Amino acid sequence: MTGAVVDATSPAAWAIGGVAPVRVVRPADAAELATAVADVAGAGAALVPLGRGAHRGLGHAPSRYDVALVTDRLDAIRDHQPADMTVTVEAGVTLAVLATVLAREQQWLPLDPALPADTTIGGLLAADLAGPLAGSQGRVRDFVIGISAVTATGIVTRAGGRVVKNVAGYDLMKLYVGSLGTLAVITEATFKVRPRPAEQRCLVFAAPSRAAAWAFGGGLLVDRVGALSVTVTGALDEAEGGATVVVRLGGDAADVAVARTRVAASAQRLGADLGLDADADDPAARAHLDRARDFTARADADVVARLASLPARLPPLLAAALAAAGGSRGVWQADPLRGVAHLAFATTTPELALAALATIADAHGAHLVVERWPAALASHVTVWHPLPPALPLMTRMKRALDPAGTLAPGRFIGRIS
Amino acid sequence: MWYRRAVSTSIASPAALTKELAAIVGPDAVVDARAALTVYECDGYTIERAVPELVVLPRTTDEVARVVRAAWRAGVPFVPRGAGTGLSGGCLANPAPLVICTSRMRTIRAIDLENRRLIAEAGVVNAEVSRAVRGAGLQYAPDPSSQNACTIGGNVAENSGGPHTLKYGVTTNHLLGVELVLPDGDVIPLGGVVDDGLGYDLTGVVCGAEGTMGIVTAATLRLVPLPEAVTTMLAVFATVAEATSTVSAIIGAGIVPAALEMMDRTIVSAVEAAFHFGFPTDAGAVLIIEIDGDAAGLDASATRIETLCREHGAASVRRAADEAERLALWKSRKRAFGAVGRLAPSYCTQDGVVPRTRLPEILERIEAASARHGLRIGNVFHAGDGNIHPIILYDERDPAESARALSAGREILLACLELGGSVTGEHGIGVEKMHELGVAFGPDDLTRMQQVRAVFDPEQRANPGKIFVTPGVCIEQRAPRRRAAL
Repeated sequence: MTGAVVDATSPAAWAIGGVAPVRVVRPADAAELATAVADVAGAGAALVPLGRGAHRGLGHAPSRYDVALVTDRLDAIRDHQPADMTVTVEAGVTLAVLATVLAREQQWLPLDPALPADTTIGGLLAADLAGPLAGSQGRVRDFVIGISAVTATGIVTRAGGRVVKNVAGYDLMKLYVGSLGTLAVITEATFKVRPRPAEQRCLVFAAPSRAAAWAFGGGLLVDRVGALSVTVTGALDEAEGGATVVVRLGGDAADVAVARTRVAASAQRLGADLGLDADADDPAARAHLDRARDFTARADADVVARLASLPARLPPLLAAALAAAGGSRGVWQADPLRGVAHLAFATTTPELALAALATIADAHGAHLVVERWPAALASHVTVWHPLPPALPLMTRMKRALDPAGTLAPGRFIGRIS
Repeated sequence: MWYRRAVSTSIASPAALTKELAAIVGPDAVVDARAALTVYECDGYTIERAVPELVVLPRTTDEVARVVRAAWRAGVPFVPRGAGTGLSGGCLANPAPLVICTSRMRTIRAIDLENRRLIAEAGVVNAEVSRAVRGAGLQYAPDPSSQNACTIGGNVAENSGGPHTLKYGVTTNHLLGVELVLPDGDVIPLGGVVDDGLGYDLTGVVCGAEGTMGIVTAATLRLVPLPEAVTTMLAVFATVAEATSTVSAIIGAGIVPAALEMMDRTIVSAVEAAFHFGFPTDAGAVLIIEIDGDAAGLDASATRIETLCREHGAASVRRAADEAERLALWKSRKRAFGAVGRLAPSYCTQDGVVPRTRLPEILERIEAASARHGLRIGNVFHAGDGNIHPIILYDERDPAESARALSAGREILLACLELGGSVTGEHGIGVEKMHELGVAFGPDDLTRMQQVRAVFDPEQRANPGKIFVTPGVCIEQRAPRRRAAL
């Protein structure tokens, strides 16, 4: 293996689900990265691509893990054309750095997963990370217009391009986004970006009950208020109080003013008290928005579960899930615009709790994704539920693109390897 | 120009297969008479034609699956087809001799207004989707100019766009799942109504794959609210350069219009002669600018745009006075290609993309190509997306002029690549641009794409001979395509 790129970092620092790699490789550029992948493949070993590792708890522990291939040194902003509203960045650039670069031109990439300072572009894409903005702005797949990726045998390939509209060749961006490093190692991506809203406002409400919070938060979708994000947060034990609704508005001053009036009227009708009404950059507002964004990452819990359903079906789904987890101590957060809820809790019977949530998900036509689980469950937890009918096709995809199982074997759905 | 094309396959036992398929779909849904088959000899890309040996028109997914399975057993590759409005020859029945046409699958299976989802079968016409939900204040955003004819199945195959994709995105951004019949006849649902995927995003891979991974029989679509208010403006410029700099200025000001379209003098004259909208025929270029959203902020945005237009040399800017005038304006734009028929015996439309800021350069390159080849070229395009549609006017009865038209089109596409763009923004590769795809991407990139295709279609039964150049006989392309609807 190329000595120059082997990193002295302790392999233990890059452990995933209790499994540590033998060595850590931190290539300086895409060419070095491709060589590193070819070396690993040539040796019949397995690697896991990682950015800063902030989200590496997502997905199963790898079934084989010889090399942590860390992309954080690929940190160049390759090309930012403000007037074209596109930006091309290497995989190791963090979302926080990218946001700063774009903000200079009054632009943004409206994706807000947890921990932006420690989330790299590679991680964002590989794990298909989403935050509260996803309900109104779309997901990673909607913004990636071009990609460079290294194949399982170390060949640099690309798809898409740098223009916002392009149907030349297959859309392999979609294939790689959310594939958790199991099909290719992403080295560079091009995004279409958006103008940053001229004005953003954060409104925080205290609702007396879950039902009131839900009627209010969910009602904003129906009322077409055009909120950037809505998050509803509460404790698993309802006796601990009602729920907090955080609404983020954005747009021209006139749009924001109108939306603000509508939100306030709706809140009043449903008995929710306005606690904060401030510019989104105000420190108190920022704290609320950051807390909503980082909800799962910061949660002090053994188990973090994500439930996704049709937006209108989320309230009964969440009610059933909260009832099932009622004996546990923890918190929940729901996104009524997108139909996604997170539960984070401590439990002495995690297996039972997750089995109950899976049953509830099935009953509501929902998906359950287990984002965190106690170490004892590592070998038998089902991270993604239900398994999709296309799983055999997905397994074929993995075997076609990575026949030797070099890339993150066992990490993805069905422990595909 | 010579390039390689797969060898045509013929049906070994046509009578037996016809009988077997007729037993599945009924005799009225099988076309095997020569005269009737001619209807299916091409799509909107007419320069290459191939009369299929057999066409079937199944009505249900089960029928499609059984037809595909029978073809699989018989070793016969097939071409999926919707309304046949494609513009790159994706439906050409060559080399596959069997066409499976989904145009009779016209059922909207489910409408969920509350959750803004709709499940449409492949043969549902694009405009019918929006019509079905307009009463509830919703719409299906992708609006290709052929929207009154083209089908959802075809839209998924081509990842279709339209004038309003600037703000709303293309088909893939509104597609949550598909029902796919694999080339061996297996029916597999990909994705679904929930916006949180499980496993690889195969829906996203199938979208835009031009029917090379199987036949999409139904699609789960995302609906979006109709905007509260819409303002449409017409800005008139003395030169194309002023118009393109205005496009950059609007985008640069942080405004994302719903649509931002340009027509140059050649096109404006033709459109005015056809539709009498009141366009100034002496203008160098016009921009159609549409913004939508909440009523509150719309007037301020419109005023800003008007100011930007004037600052960049607009001779006049006016807002459509009412819905009737707005619709008349869009009709002129969407039917621009038809109007061009007045200008020359033949024309061919190209589809290329450049970064928005390179529009002035590509237009200069188009003008240079026009001068070099002695051909008139008009421009009508999605300026906000950098998606150009140069229309090359020629006379197909003149072989030398036809050859020059073909060369001019190719030069423009290569210029798009040089400027950092793409050889197709919304029409697809089909058979038309297989050669250009090989210029846009390297061998490793194309190998990778074909590996992905093989996962769905290891035997190359679904629409073979499209997108990728395959070894085989050489076919000479003598002239460009004649006409296109956009």
